[in-house]
Amino acid sequence: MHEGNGRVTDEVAQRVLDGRATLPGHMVYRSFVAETVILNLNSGTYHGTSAVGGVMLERLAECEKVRDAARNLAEHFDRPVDEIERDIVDFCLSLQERGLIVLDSSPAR
Amino acid sequence: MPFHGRAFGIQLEADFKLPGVLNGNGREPGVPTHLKVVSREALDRGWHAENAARTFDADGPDGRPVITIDYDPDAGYRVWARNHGECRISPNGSEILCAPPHAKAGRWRLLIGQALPLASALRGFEVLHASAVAIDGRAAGFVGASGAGKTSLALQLVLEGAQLLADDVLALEVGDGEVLAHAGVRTANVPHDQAAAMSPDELGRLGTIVGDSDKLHVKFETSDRPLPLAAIYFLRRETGIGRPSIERIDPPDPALLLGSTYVFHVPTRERLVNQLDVCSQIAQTVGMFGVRFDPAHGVRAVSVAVRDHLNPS
Repeated sequence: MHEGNGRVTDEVAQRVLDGRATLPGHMVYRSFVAETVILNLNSGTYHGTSAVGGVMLERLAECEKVRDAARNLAEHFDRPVDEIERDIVDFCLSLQERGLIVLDSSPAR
Repeated sequence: MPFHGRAFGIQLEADFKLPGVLNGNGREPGVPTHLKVVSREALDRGWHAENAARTFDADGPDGRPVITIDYDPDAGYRVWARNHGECRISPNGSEILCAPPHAKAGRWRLLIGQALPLASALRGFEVLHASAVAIDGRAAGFVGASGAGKTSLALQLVLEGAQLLADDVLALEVGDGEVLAHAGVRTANVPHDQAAAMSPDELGRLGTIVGDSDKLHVKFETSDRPLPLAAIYFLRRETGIGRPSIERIDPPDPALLLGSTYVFHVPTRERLVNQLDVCSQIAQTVGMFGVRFDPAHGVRAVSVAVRDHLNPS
């Protein structure tokens, strides 16, 4: 998934961007101003992410594809789309690694 | 004839008297939680220990258990405390069965200190380990470890004109975008050394003495309606610091808030989500402040600092 220097490969990044990210039903999150807390209701454990991460979670929930969420966020933060795409791919993969998000990278129908 | 009251946000109805708790007129809105005194045998009926999981226990200095809390999703919670009897709380908090000890002193401590807060949490309130006072129609909460001075500070503020809302347990809910604080039971446990330092007039201003065990039990008047939570202070003793220091906790610390719960042993989904909702709302709308103080300088220095902070002239 990652190149030798830790960077996500383009192939993986595109798969993530073309797919959908969903928070499983047993995960809830709330804003604490500068942090967003994600609670796993099955295990009772808490995970933290930044306030920006919280905004990303909201957009991912609203959008069909991760790529759409990235475009939306680029407008919101007034940043270049490719920069946000890199950030959101890293974010999604990090959450997936922690079991906090499900990435559906099936090819678009 | 049933007795009525209100504490920790919930309506109560009982077939026994409970000083400082059950003195309402029965016309308060809401579905009450029913309290009943039963025998130990009655507590056992419908309780299957093999289905229950221990969610909390603590040992005394002698290594023997002093309190246990067990949970069965079908039967609810069972709380036992050495020398304080046992209670069962139904899964939705609508009923509390008590088997109190025979001794009069501290007879209802388990009910008041554990069962009622637990029922409040099951009925949708978030319950913090905090004292609280009302000043000018707003509530201020004080959080800290046991012995940090939560009760002492609240009582000192009462002597200076505030109204006591909660001694050790504060029930909160979110309403209309605000965090609302509900009064606890109308009795406070005053440390003997603090009571001894008060004049008879001051003690009288606190309330009416209704019992004396390891602490003095004082019945007091409090707000009948929930009040908006204006500020929450996290107390920390620090030897050598001069005047008390009050600093805003910015940005809000989720761990501080989530760790202030009184009912960490209630792991239901509903309660965990509610806790997250209330704490998130506190972070967004209520001032959070750290208070550092040297206990050697006395509680009055802290109360003056807090009053000035709440109502800067």
